[in-house]
Amino acid sequence: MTLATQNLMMPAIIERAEEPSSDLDLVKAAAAGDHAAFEQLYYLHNRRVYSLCLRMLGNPNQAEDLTQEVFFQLFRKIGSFRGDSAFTTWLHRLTVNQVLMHFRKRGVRLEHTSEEGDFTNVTETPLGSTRRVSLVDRLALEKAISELPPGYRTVFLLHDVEGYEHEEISTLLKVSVGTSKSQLHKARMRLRELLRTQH
Amino acid sequence: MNCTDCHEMISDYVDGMLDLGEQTKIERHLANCEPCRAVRDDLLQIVHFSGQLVMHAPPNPADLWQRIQTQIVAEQPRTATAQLKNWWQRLHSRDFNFSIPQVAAVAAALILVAVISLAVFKKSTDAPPIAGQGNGKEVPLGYNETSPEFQELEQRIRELKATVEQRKASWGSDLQSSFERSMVYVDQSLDESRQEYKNNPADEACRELLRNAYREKVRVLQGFANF
Amino acid sequence: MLLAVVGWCASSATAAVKFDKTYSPQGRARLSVANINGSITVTAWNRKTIAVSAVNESSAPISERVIGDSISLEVRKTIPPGKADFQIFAPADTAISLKNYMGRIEVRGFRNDVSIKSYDSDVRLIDLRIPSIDVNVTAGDIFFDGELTGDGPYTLQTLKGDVDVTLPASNSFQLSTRALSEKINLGDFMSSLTGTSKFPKGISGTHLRGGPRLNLITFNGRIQLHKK
Repeated sequence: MTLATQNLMMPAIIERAEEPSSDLDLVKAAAAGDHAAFEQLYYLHNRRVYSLCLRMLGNPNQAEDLTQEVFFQLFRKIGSFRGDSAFTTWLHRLTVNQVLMHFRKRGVRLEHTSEEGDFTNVTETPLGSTRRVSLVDRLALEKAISELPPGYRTVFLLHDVEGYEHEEISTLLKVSVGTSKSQLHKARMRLRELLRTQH
Repeated sequence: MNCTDCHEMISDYVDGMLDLGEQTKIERHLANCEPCRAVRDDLLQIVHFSGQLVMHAPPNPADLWQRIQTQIVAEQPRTATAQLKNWWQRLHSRDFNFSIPQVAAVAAALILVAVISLAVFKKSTDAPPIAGQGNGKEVPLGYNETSPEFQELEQRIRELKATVEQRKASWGSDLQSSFERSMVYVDQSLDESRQEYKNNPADEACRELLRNAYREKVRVLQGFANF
Repeated sequence: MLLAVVGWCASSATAAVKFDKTYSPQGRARLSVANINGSITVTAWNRKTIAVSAVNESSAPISERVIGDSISLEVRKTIPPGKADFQIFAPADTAISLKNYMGRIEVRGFRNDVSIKSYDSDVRLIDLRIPSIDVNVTAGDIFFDGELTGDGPYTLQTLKGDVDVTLPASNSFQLSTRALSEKINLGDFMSSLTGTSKFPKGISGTHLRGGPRLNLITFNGRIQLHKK
C-alpha cells in the first residue's frame, strides 16, 4: 500500500461531535416519556442531522424542514432503538432515509446516466510545479458539492463525507455496488472539474 | 495500461480497493504519467478534505425545536390536544433534573392520557373541538368563536356559498377545479388558524391569521360568485 | 334576419385572436387589467405610451374602457372562460392594478402603486421601487425584489405559497410577519430589527426608523426576507 493510500485510511476528522456515552441513557429516558431527555438529544444531534440534510439537498429551508421531520420520526420510533449500534449511526440512517424519501416524493432521480463531462481531457498538458498549490479549500469544496447533480452528490456525501461503505450505500439506495462505485468516481471527477474552474 | 484505463480505476485505487496486481499496474503507469498523477493527487485532496467538513447548524435551533414540539403535539387526537399540550408544556417548563420516580409518574400519566384520549377520540371523531376543555382551570381567555366580527363573516360566507353552488355547474372544468383548489386551501387555512387561535387565544398573530383566513374565504367566494 | 347574421358572426370568432392596442396617456396613467385564465406580464419602459398585446384563444373577448389617463381592460366572463395571455409595456410611473383567477403574474420596473388580486397565481415583482403594494393570492408564491419608497402599506399575502422579499438594508419599515406554518426567516434583517415581539406564528418589529408597514402573510408556506 502506498503512502498516499495510507494517509487516506484515517482522514483527520476534527469537527465531529464526540458521542457521549450517556446517549443511550438519554434515549432510554426519552423513550419512557422524558421530554427533557428528548430535548437534550435534539440539542446534541441537530447539527449532524441538519448538516447531512443541507449537503444532500443543497437548500437550507428544505434542510430545516427535513431536520424537523427527522426528529419527529425519531420521537415516534425512539422506543424501537435497541442499542445494538451507536445511536448516532441509527439517527444517521433515519436521516438518510428521510432524505431519500424526500427525493422520491419530488421525483428526483438519483441515477444520473449522462456521460457528459465525466472524464477530464486525458491528454491535458501537465502544468508543472506551479499547479501544486492546494486545489481544495473547504468553502470551495462545499460549493462544488452543492453543484453536483443529486445522484452523484448523494453517493459522494454518503461515502466520502459520511464514511459509508459501498455495500451499505448499495442497500440504502437500492443500487448495485458497481453503480455506487461508478457514481462515486463520477462525482469525484466532476468535483475536480468544478474545483479546477474555480481557480 | 493507458490513461483511460487508469482513470477508470483511479477512485478505487485512492480508496485502497484494488488487489495487488491492479495496484502495481496503476502505480507503474502513474510513475510515468504526470497528468494521471495530477488526477490522483487531486482526488486525494478531495477525499481528505471531505472527511473534514464542518457541521452546519440550523439558523435557529430553538425555533426549530419549537416547531418539532408543535408537530408532536399536533399528532395527538384533536379532542385531547389541550390536555396533552398541558402535560407537554408542564414537562417542558421543569428543571432538567428529573428524579426516577418523577419520570415514572410522568410517563405513566402520559400513557394514561394517551389511552384515554385515544378512547375519547374513537368515540367522538365527528365532534367538533370543544373550547376550554382542559382541566377546568384552562379556559382560554379572549377566545370567542361567536364574536360579532366572526359571526358576520360566517353569515357572509353562507350567503356567498349559496350563490356559488347555483352557478358552479355551468363553469366548465378548468374554473371548477380552480375554485375547488382554492376552497381546499382556504378551508385548510381556516381550520388550522381556528385551532391555533383556540389553543393560543393570547397570541395576536393567531388572531390575525384567523381573521385573514375568514376574509380570504369571503374574497374567494365573492370572486367566484361573480362568475 | 339581422339577428341571425349577428349570431353567426359571434360564433365564428373561435380562433386565437391577437389584441394589440397602444394608449397615449397625457400624465401619470392608471392601468387595470382583469384576466381570468392566463398570464399577465407588465414591464416598465421609457416610452410614454402603454402598449398592450394579448393572445386570446377560444373567444375570450377583451373589453376596454378609457377615461382620461385611466385605462381598464377586462376579459369578459364567458362559459367556459377563455384563455388570454397579456404582454404589456407601460411608463414606469403608471399605477398598476391586476386581477386574475389563474395564471402567472409578473410586474417589473415600476415606480408607482401596485395592486394584485388573484386566486391561483405565482407573482413575481422585480425592480419595483414603489410607494405601496397590495398583493393577495389564495395559492401561489410571491417574490418581491425592490425598494420601499413611500408611506406604504406594503402587503403581500398568500394562503398556500412562499413570500420571498428582498430589500435594501437602508429601507425603514414597520414589519409584521404572520405564518401559520411558523416558517419565518428574516435573514440579516433579524439582527437590525428593534422592538421585536415574537410569537411562534409571527414576528413584528421596527427596522431602522420604522414608518411604512410591511405586512407579509402566509398560511402554508414560508416567509423569507433578504437584505441586498
